[in-house]
Amino acid sequence: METQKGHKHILSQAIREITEIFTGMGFTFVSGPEMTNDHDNFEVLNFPDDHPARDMQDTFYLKGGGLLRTHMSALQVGHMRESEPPIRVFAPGKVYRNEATDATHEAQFYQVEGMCIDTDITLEHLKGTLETLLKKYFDDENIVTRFRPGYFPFVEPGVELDMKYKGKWIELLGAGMIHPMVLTNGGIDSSEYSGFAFGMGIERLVMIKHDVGDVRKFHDGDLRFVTQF
Amino acid sequence: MKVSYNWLAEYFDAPLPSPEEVGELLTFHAYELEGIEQVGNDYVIDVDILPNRSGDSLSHRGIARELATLLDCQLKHDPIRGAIEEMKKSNICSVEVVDTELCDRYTSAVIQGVSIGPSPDWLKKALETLGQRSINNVVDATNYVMLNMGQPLHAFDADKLAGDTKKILVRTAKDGEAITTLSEDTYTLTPETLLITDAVTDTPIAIAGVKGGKHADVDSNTTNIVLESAHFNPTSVRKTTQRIKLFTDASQRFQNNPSAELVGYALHDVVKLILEIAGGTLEGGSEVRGAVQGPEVVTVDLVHINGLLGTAITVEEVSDILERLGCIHDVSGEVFTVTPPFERRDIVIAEDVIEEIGRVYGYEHLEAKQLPEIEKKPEVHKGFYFADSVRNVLTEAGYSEVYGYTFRSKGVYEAINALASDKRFLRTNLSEGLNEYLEMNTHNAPLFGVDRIKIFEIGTVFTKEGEHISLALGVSGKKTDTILNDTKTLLERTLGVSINESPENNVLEINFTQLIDGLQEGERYEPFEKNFTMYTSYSPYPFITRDIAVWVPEGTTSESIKEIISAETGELMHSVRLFDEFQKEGRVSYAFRLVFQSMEKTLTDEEVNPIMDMVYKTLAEKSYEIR
Repeated sequence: METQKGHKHILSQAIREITEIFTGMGFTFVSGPEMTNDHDNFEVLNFPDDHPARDMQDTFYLKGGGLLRTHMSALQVGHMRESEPPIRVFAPGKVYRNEATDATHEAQFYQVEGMCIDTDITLEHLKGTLETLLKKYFDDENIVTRFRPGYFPFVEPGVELDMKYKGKWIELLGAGMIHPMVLTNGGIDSSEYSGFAFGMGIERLVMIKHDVGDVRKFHDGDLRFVTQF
Repeated sequence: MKVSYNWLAEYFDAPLPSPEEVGELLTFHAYELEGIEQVGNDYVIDVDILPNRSGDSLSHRGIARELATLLDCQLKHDPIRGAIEEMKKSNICSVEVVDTELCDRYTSAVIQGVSIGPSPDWLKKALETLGQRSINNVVDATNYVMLNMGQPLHAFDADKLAGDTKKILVRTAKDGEAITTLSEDTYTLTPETLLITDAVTDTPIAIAGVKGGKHADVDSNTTNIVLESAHFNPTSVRKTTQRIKLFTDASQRFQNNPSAELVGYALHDVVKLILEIAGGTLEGGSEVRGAVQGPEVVTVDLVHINGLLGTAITVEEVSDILERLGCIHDVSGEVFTVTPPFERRDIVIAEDVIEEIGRVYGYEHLEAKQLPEIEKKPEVHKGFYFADSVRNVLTEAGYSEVYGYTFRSKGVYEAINALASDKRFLRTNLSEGLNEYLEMNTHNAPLFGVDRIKIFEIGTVFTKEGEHISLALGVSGKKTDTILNDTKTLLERTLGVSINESPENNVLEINFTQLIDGLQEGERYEPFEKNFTMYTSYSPYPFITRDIAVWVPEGTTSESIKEIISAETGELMHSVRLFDEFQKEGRVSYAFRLVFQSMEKTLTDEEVNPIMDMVYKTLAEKSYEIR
């Protein structure tokens, strides 16, 4: 009879592809817990307590303390403490935001964080690294990117990155040069080292590449979605 | 914040570039843009001001100042520069602040003999263009100056304050003290809340920095007013709004810590405007001033600037940009000592100055530069290595992978602010979810051309012991234990490890973190194929299946029969699959399952039957016997 192979979820496939590209650029895959705390998710990343910047990320708080990580940046400082420059790491993983779901918003989704710390790292390296990543992932040498000013408390300068893909500009991700206070929190001398960091939604990448219109399809367990890839 | 293009234009001698060009300048050098909308002969530009710039840019003046920097020109006039005339001390209303930590500057002014009435047309239009309601000339004036300068203001009816000489007391609330606001909502407060009160009767007249009270509101009979222009502690205002869940234009500004220097300029402007449009005379003012924070002096050098941006900007270029930003600065060799304008409370460290220089200089000048090669080689991630490897084994064995939902109705860890009552807990296992996905997908099994559904998930679960990665496989149908145990053996063989868990209720769930604990990952991840498949949306409507079995002479392929069937079925056919085959006395029996589905509607037998009749007829014409 006709027997069939199963399908890997497209998110797994995307993470595998991203892993290949990052590994090729000398980045190591790292991971951390989904359940974390205010200290790792916010405080060490220069989100002061009771600061309006906290409103940028709706957080799931847990009874008895703790919270679900709202971004993969929650791994930044811990990793800095465990290692020494040069640091090149990327961290794909699940993050949580307490927002009503619709075609473009999910309460749980995947992000990949990238972080590079060394002497003489500049915004131009950030641009180069992201362009390489995008060109390879989308298999399109014509992709160009542009920065706009952005704001995230843990980077300074902070930027937003747009990508021109198939003739259209698409808003893609937030990034910047790691804030000196964050480097200090990670035990790294900010007068000697600089670094960049960026965080990108993986579903968003997949939606653009494979033309998926609804983010909820990734997490509903429906094989009519899964088996297409 | 919504800003009016015409209002911005009043700040400039030369005509502004088009609204689109203004939008573009702001997008690429300063803020995010939500959109531009034409309103009458004006354009409303919706600018998303992020927290770092909310202290100075939630105002027309702030955005005009930014435009002046980007256009490299001067503002025609700047309402927050220069000396302002000191007000004579009021004999009618005094002010006392109990805690200057919570309110480091409070100023008031008394105007007598105002005529409350509608605002002049220009003012009404200015507010209505931005979607604000015009209320009366005095209230509109306070809103106008706030939208212009970013300093919230408030007007009280002086005659509603008790006594011949009035006194405003700024103090925290007593436990359980209540206030009814202008919009007739009553709030019961806790001692953390800062209040503006009538000291004579000890009555609250406003929630400081958030909203005015009903008690001393300005109405159509008001003739004497007390104006408030003050600076409140941003954290205190923020906590109050969150506690009482009341968010206003005023609280949004105060929580972002605008400069306390704005207070005097705003009071001056609002008095001037009210005298103009509502008449009356200024009686005098009062001021309480604690220790107000001044601007920071920041030192930054050229090597640091270019080192972070990757640029080759010169001392002269930096100097020019700082000049445009309105920063006072000294240059010594390549070192800049920078004093930002007082309203730019966000510029505190060298990197803040570098960002200013980068964005004004223009990020479009940056090249894409590759990272240098380094000796340190990337390490293989053990968890991902084995997860990837297990995915390969399982998909090869016919399992498809699902990504399930973390939030469930039962568990150990509970979210305080859950999205729904059945999604309050973090999952303790994958099995429950997997069983639901099995059931859901089983209904659709014919669409996938399978007799039973085989799925798996690798994901985090949250138990009493904390979180770990779990692997679960699920199979639908009967005698699933046998299939799951076969797969278990396959996994054990591939990974070289023994699995302790056993199948239960169609699912085999394994503690993956524990399973791989003693294993050694390989030197590189397994190869993969890039996927470029484009997604196509699937029909939301039910499908209909029909089975057909046919005798054919030996040597006739199933493919050839499939082709005949497909040729007759047309666009309503989703798929046709061979599901049974056997030989008897020189003949072969092929059994096919046909699945029909429409993208537009629910199919009925009346639509499928004629198609099947055509299939039977065509097969019969070719002398094949239908079983």
